[in-house]
Amino acid sequence: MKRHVTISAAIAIAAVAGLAACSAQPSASPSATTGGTFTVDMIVGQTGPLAAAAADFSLGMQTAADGINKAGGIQGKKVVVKILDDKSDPTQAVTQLQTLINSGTKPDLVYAGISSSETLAMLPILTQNKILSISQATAAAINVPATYPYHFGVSPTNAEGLAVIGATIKSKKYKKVALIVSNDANGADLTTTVTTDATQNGAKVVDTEQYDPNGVDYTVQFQRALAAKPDVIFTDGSGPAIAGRLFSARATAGATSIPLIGGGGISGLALNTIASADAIKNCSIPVFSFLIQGGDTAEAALLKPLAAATKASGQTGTIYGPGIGFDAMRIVALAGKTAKSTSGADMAKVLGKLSTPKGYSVQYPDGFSYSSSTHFPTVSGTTGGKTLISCNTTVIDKTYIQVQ
Amino acid sequence: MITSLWAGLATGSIYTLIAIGYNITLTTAGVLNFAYANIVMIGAFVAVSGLALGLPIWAIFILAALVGAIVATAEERVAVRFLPKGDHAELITTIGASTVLTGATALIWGNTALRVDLFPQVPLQLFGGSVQPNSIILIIAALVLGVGLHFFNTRTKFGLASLAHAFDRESTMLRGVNVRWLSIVAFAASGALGGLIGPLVGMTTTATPFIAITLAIKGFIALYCGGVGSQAGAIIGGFGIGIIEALANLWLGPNYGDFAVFAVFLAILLIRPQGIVGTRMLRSV
Amino acid sequence: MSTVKVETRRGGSTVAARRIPRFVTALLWVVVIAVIAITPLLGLDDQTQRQVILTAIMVLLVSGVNLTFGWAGELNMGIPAMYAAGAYVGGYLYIHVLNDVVVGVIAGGLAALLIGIITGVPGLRLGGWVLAIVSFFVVILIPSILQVIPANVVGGSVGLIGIPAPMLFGQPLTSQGFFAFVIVVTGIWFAVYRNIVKSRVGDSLLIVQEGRVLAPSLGLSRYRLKLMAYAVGAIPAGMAGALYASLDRFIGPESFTLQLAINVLAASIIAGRRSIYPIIVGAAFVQFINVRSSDFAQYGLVVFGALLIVGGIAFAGGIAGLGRRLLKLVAPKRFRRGAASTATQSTARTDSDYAFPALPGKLLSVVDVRKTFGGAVALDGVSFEAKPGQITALIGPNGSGKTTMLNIINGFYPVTSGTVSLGERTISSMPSTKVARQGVARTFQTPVVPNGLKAIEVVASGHLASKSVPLIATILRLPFYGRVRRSELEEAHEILVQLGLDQFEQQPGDSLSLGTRRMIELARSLASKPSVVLLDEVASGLDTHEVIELARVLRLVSRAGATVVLVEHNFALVRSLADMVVVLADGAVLTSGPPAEIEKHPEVLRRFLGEMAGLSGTSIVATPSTTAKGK
Repeated sequence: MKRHVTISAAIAIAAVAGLAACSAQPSASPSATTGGTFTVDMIVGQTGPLAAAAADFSLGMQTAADGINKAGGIQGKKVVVKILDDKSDPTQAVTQLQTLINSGTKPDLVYAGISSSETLAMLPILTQNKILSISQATAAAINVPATYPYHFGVSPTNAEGLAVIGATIKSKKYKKVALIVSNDANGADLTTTVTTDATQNGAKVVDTEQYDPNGVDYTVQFQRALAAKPDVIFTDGSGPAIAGRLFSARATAGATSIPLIGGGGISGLALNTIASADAIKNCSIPVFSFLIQGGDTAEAALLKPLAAATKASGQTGTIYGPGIGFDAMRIVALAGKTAKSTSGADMAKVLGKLSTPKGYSVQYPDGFSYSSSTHFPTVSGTTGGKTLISCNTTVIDKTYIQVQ
Repeated sequence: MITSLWAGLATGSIYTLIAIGYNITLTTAGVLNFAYANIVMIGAFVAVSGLALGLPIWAIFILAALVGAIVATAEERVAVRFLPKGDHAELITTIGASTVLTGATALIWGNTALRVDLFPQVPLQLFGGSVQPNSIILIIAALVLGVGLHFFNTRTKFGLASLAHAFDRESTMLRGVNVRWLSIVAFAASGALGGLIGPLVGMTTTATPFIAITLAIKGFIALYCGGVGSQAGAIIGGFGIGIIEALANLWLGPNYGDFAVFAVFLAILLIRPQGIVGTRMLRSV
Repeated sequence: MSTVKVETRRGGSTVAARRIPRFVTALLWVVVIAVIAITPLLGLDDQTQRQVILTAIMVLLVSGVNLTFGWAGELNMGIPAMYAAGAYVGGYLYIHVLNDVVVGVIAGGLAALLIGIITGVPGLRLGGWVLAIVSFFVVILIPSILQVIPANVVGGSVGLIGIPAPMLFGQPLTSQGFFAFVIVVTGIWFAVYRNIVKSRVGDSLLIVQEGRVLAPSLGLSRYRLKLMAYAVGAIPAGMAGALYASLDRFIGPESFTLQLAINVLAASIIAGRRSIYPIIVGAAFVQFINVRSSDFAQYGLVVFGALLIVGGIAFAGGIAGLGRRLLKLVAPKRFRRGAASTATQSTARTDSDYAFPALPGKLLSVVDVRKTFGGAVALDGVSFEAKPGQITALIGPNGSGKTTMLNIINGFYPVTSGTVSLGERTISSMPSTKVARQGVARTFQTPVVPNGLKAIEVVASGHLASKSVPLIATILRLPFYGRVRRSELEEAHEILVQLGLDQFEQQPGDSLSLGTRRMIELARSLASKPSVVLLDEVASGLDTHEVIELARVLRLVSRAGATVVLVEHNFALVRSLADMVVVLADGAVLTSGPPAEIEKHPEVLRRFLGEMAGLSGTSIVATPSTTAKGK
């Protein structure tokens, strides 16, 4: 098993190296950036449970920025990405932001926190100062373009991201769905989303269980879910620690005979390094197609620097997190180019009606769009750019998921 | 129901193991080591690294125990040895040590969780319920260690000496027991124990720096409910809290497990402040 | 008579000398607060304003921790929960009920007070780690509590959105106005905090920290005082929460974590846990570190943890303590302990016409008291009487039950059987606090003099329980408080003069020599105007002069009408002082009678007196003072 991984890793490294050697870089006419800098400040927690996610996103932003700078920057300005630590605390986030604004170098773009609390706390000041901001938080309260015209979400809402689940419920004719979600903001949102998905596709949510993300054992949640005799169980959790405990609990509770569908939080993980083979059988997760190696060559070329950077960073996990940061940076670059301006207001105006061209976003190769009514991505196609794959996946070369 | 009981026992065994570790330093050096759960987690991370290096399982456990002992001894030297008298200063310094260890663990092994995969986990069917083999090992480990240390404390000369020390430092000193050595030995022993059980605990919780604080608090509540200073109490408290949490989650709903634990804790504080099997002697921690 | 006049004048002048600075301090504080409050008008930028507001919030939180940790000796890890309670209650009020910051701050403070009481009542029964964990558990429960409360009330796990801009008395507050409001609230609370800790209440709390025996023996309930400090300490956290709700107009559950508790603790340690003004420095420092946290990046936790360790060990007194210690290193050695041991020679009083004010002595009768510990019999049917106006000595070898007897009279131990009564009342079933309030005062084998009080305050503390002043009067420094405080300090001064100790009165009590501390203890027991004074080996460790002095004072005390019970090894002292001697042996009364009789009692002679120092001496003056025993 271990040897197998090593070998496949070696092959993947060779493949990437080969690609790097062969592929011609279409936009690689390195024109030096001309005037000034385009300042990007990421206000995120550098310590604590969300630090890993923050590191992933910043890696993606930086990688994208390198590419953008090579191509001449945004409107000739060199993109500089800085990280400011807010310890995942909303109060600290606002303080960092305010310090930033007052320091005289008003940022051109703020990556506004990892959790929705950080984003929500910063939004009033961002709006007041007409600073363009972006984050992956998906709480509905953030997506109010009338109030927060300069903020855009880069992750799909759960509704978008989990559309594939609705489709599956329909195709598999599941009637009874049980939910096991965390007792935080994301859990609340997931409950709403999956309930809607289920109802629209002829199923019913028969049980909703919540767990404490800091808890030790989730067996009881699975047991209670089982008691409702569902056809399928939906669960999600942010990060490998929780995923590990969820799957361990699933096996212990004897819930492996009921199909399980995971959410976005566990979809970027190499589940077979987190849970036993028994625990992840009969289970599927929605993943972005860019995480699955062997996409078309255009996509491979786009992902190449990202994959290389992820591998070089020594971070665990896949290019899932970096991919989100990567997209965030590139979307803004696109907006700058289209608006021919780097002012927050101008870029926000453009973003508000932006549709990405095909093959531009790694999350949504088919493109996505913002509108005046929603500043979260609306995806072309019905499955939100995601595919449902088996949980039994291997991470190759620290970057891709391979389906077995 | 039976599976929930198993789950409760499994969690309870972890609380018990934490409480046992607390008791070792508490009865010997008179200090509650809040950073103990962090040492357990370090044991789990050592196992992750050991597995990655391809070490055999027995070597992993020895290495984890060794690292745990070293970390705990270092903690004793830095954060406990020079404590000013009284003042609850150890409340501050061991919380400080715990914070340092959390940060250091995250620096060394990263902020994410890592799976500790010592041996394959296939749930067993026992007494009409389902349970992970590792949970059984943890439950047995908690029982054996708890009972063993209980007899060690109450039946052997060294155990009695250390108990005596916790009750009256001065008079023990007069009787020629080297108090400073006792303190170092206690921290080293508890650290070794913490490191040793770390890989097993990590198999259940995954190795992650940020769960230590939860374990530390629940372990303390277990210690307290059972009776401070008593290893038998640690068993009763730990398993009791685990079962109450699991059953409250099962019957009342998942948000009520912690409420139930809190309620029981408060009730014991009010009705039987010395804990279920505790004596009044060591009542001020 | 003339003496009294002089002392009164002196006492009066002391008080007068204190009053003016206090008035000035108050005025100065008002000016400082006013100046800070208007700094935005002088051009303070937004970002600095925010830093100052967050520092003010931190000051509120730290003062709460200091009140419990520094003054009540109990660690409150639940500060984030109390802060959260204030924030959510404030936020809810602003959105749904009434948008007024004054109302919000008051309601926030009360909400936190409630949390303080809920966690304090059980947690303080044992204190220490138990309280720390009970209070911290509430922080862990925050997410679950937010789940259980319907999301439309306080926003559930997403956080509370839509808090309106702050208003005061129906008028919208500008950012400058809100800044001023925060400063004024903090300034007011700070004055309250200062007035609580620098008062009889603060003194009581220091006494409570001194251990289990002292406070009850002075009639002070440790539990009630600690609970008071802990609950009051919650209030500023709640106020801070309500301010926070108006500051960002968004409340995220992620703001209320262990990290916050650690920040507050760090600030408290830096400032010193019993500090007052340094709190501002500590809070500002932590706020600064937080702003600069990007510099530490992922090392932040390690840095903060190390700060706690170093702080917990080295900074025992905070920056102020560090300064004092540095001063000590620099200052010459004889400066340190004061002139404590040198001064006893000078002041043996000879004005034997002085009389203590009448003390309401009562008959203390011990009837057939038995006391067993487990299987061991410590007292086996002891009966004796101690009469008002007389000195009754309890003598006997080590282990004969003398101190146990005192502890039973005092209420520290319950009797196994038998009764102890004071006048008409049975006191053997009363808790020690209540016994003390019946007029039983005592001293200890090892003097218990609390750290942090001047000698005169130590003596005055004997008076704390007998005259209670409402907290509000203490905080506002109402005239009533001033009168009580003044009179008890005057009385304390009077007693110290009589004991020849008045030159020590401004020195820290715990820095004095053993003999002086014994005398201070005696003075303290007299300050409460006791009916019964229990003295546990009060002469041990005293030098000859001190013993003479002591004997003189004890005669005065008994002449004033008090019932004096003396446990003593120095038989010469007993013989010269006692009206009645009770000899204990193996937990029973061997014999009792006037000293002259006891001295000749063959059994006593054979069994004990031969072993006892001082028998050969014919006067106490000749008695070597080195009869001090180890313990």
